[in-house]
Amino acid sequence: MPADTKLTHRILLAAAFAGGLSVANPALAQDFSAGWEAYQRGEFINALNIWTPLAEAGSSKAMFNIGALHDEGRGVPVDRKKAIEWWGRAAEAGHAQAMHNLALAYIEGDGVEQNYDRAYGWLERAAYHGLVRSQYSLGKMYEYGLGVDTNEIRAALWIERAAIAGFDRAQYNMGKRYRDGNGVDQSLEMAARWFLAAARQGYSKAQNHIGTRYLRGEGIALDKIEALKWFTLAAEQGHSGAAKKAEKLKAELSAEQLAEAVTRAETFEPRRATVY
Amino acid sequence: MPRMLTAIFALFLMPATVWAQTPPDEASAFIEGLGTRAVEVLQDQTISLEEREAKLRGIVADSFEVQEIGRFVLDKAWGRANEEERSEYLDLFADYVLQTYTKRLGGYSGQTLNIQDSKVYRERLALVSTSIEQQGAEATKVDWLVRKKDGAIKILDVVIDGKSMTLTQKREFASIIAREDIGGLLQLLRLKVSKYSAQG
Repeated sequence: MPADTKLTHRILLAAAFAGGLSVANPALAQDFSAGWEAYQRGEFINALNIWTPLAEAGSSKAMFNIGALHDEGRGVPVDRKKAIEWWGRAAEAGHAQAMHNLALAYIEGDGVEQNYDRAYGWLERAAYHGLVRSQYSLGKMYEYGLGVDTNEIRAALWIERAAIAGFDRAQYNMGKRYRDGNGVDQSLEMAARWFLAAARQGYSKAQNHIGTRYLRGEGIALDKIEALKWFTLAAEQGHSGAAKKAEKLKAELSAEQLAEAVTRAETFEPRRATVY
Repeated sequence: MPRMLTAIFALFLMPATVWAQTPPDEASAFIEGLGTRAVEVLQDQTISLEEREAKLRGIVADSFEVQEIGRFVLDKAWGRANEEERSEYLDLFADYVLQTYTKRLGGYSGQTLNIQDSKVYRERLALVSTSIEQQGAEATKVDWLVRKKDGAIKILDVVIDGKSMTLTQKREFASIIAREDIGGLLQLLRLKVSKYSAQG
């Protein structure tokens, strides 16, 4: 093999092991897309047949998707062991979502022996890859002391990372942490800011909480119209507590204030929000 | 199966809420309608699989008594859980159940749902027996335990080849709670609903 061919071969192999083969090679990328189109049509066996040679050639995206097909029983019987095997290969090749799913498998102990150390290790790697779900889960592991010593400060640090990246549940959690001084210095103002961010994204529990902050003027300027708007929005999503608060608050407001709150609720559209 | 279901019926019959009987003909029409709606959505190739499954999730959410099943599945741990834990658990359980059923149904490939029987069960409930058939494969026997309450029929349990999904879930959760208490179960559910599916 000539030196330049050897070099090309080595570069391709390196790309494959870094999980980038499907991107680095246009032909394979096209094949991967054909598999995805088959998947979208519900032709799962077809997708599996397209992705398998790609996975064998080193595509971590194909490995991950094959794992998901086995895990969910799409086109094949549910087989957790096979799913974990494929996710393991994809994770070793640097696929962040595979790391996250693998961590879950180690926590569940389904298809693989339960192992919190390994679960933590994969979750941490996925979190450092920027996966917000993994960052949030790591925070919760520290909060409940699962596989690690309970540590509210570390819990808050991981959850805050996910919150800053825009994960609504993490933002809501940070709101509660600042409200209670749990793992962070207590700050009603910061609590309100985080609740508001999650509420703006459409998270009903946060909408209920920010409604209460506005009603009490706690960490944010008192504003009963805004309070009613948020209670109404939370209630529309089935939050029974917010519905009761909305009913009670309506009795305190003038017709103009009620109309304004209704207009604001009707024109509300969830959008990406954060605090920083 | 009868003994297995008795435990479930006993629980769902306990609340003081007054509800009507569940007429078997209405129950079977409900299940048949559910199957028809699901197939219509799943056969729509004009939208992506994610969109089809999101629509299906809405149908499943409307058809199952998810919150009540969630409380039943948690069993005695419900009494020990604080308000915050109960609230988070019910949210996560609903997400998990809807996601599970949706993904299972999302793999639709031409199966047909045939109603075989529908009868009154324990006075107020109905049990609809169906068979899910697919060419070249053995039929799956699926029983649906349903209840009419406040004028609406909802599913309380699905029994696949004699295996109650609700009781299976309850046993699985009980072993996690025994090991890790409610915190461990919440973390597991959080992770389960955060699991990633195939990506494009």
